[in-house]
Amino acid sequence: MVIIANPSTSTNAVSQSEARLIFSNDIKAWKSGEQIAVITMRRTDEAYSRFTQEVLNLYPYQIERAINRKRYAGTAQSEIVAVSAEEMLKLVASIPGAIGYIHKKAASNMPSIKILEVRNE
Amino acid sequence: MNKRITLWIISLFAVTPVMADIDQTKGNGLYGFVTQGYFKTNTNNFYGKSQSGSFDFNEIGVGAGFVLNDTVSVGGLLLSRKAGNADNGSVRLDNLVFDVKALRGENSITGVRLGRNKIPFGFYNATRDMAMTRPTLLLPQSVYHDHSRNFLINADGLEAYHERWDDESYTRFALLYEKNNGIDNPQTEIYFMGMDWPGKLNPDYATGATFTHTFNNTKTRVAGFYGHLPTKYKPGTVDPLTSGEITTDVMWLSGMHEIMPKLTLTAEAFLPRIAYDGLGPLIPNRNVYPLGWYLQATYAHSNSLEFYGRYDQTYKDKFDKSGEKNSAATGMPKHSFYASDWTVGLNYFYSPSLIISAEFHRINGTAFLPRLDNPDPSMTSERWNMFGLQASYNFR
Repeated sequence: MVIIANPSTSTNAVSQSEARLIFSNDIKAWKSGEQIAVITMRRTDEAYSRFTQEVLNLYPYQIERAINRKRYAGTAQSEIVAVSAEEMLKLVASIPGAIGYIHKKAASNMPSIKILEVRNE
Repeated sequence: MNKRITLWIISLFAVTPVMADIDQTKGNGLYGFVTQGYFKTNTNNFYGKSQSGSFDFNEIGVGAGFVLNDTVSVGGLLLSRKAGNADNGSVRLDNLVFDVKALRGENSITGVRLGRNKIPFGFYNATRDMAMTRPTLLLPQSVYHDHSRNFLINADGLEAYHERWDDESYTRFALLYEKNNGIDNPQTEIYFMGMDWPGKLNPDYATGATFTHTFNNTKTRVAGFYGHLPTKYKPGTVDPLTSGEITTDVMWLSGMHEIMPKLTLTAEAFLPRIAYDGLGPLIPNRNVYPLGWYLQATYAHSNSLEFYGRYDQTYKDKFDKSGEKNSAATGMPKHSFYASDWTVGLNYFYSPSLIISAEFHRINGTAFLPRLDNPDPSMTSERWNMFGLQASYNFR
């Protein structure tokens, strides 16, 4: 799995902890000040489980708990759910500031998105 | 029971037309959960007649959140909770928050949350009734008291906050000015004053401050909470008590360290001071210092199974840990002033929306036993065991 972003974003790489903070809705803006739009797959999608484990080094239920603790305390979430890999590509390509994830193969040679390098700790 | 189901159906239909106008893919959504528990104790009752096995514990919630624009979002939750004689299952507005992000920077947000806010103490209080946010079946009762929970749940007012982040850390501060909702009820009177007296407890505006700091590449998290809660007692027409005040100052400290993704260690401590003033000779002027703390380890075995163990301890008066002085003064058994609890358990994630949890407790003392399920404290036993089983379904 790789992290992908809208080509407008100023960032080319994120650290693993930065990725955890972005996908649990703690970090809300890019360093340029542009707002981050988190695009995620449905929880039942195999890509979601693979992404949390391979890229974030968390089990899906560990990040779910963090997100639910905000949602159920009345903090409305602004993440967008994609129902397929094609939709993930389309949404990340079309929304300024968007970040998402996809299988590595599906992301290669796609000029409409960029792949963010993940720096491991 | 029928009334309750009807209410839920009405609330669902009330929300549906609103939802239809809002594009789900914009991240606004309806969410909710249903949790059903089962408790079995060898002696003493926890959430219903648990000595013969009790299904008298369930939680149902339906919420919605809308991001109206870059500045304003709104979120809320309706909740029904049935827990033996301690909670009757009525439908309540658990929270309804207008979040105004007044100032946005490239690495910070400053804003205000107006409305009915959850009281944000500890890692879990704000979402204590949602099984999928709890790391264990029951939260540690030494600090997240369920027997006297009403005044710990939510408050109406405002929370001003500032959050900031960098590549590897996240920090949030907040100041609170709110009026607590759960003060005037028998459960809270029993907690503060030993029984349900004829008069009324009225909350004044409470002030508080809280911070959370996640650092060390998000592996370590610390949190602190301080709250000042003034409460006035107004005597009933025939009442041995006089008009007076009960002031609670609470300090709460929390720490968590993760060795990702396998091991999580958590510890929290609850350090309140309760000051009594002017209530008359039956409740003399004095300060009482309760204490509660726990240490918990969670081992994530796989993407569907985790195990946990915990030790927690609570004293109603930290200067009378054995309960002797308080027992002599009140006639209540010594063991009702303390409790220590060894817990082991597991969470099984059958699917992202269905969680099955089981846990076993070995307990010494009854300080957190719900009085409403055990009306005669002299009939309770000091040493008791409890087994809990819970299934929780959630959608979003």
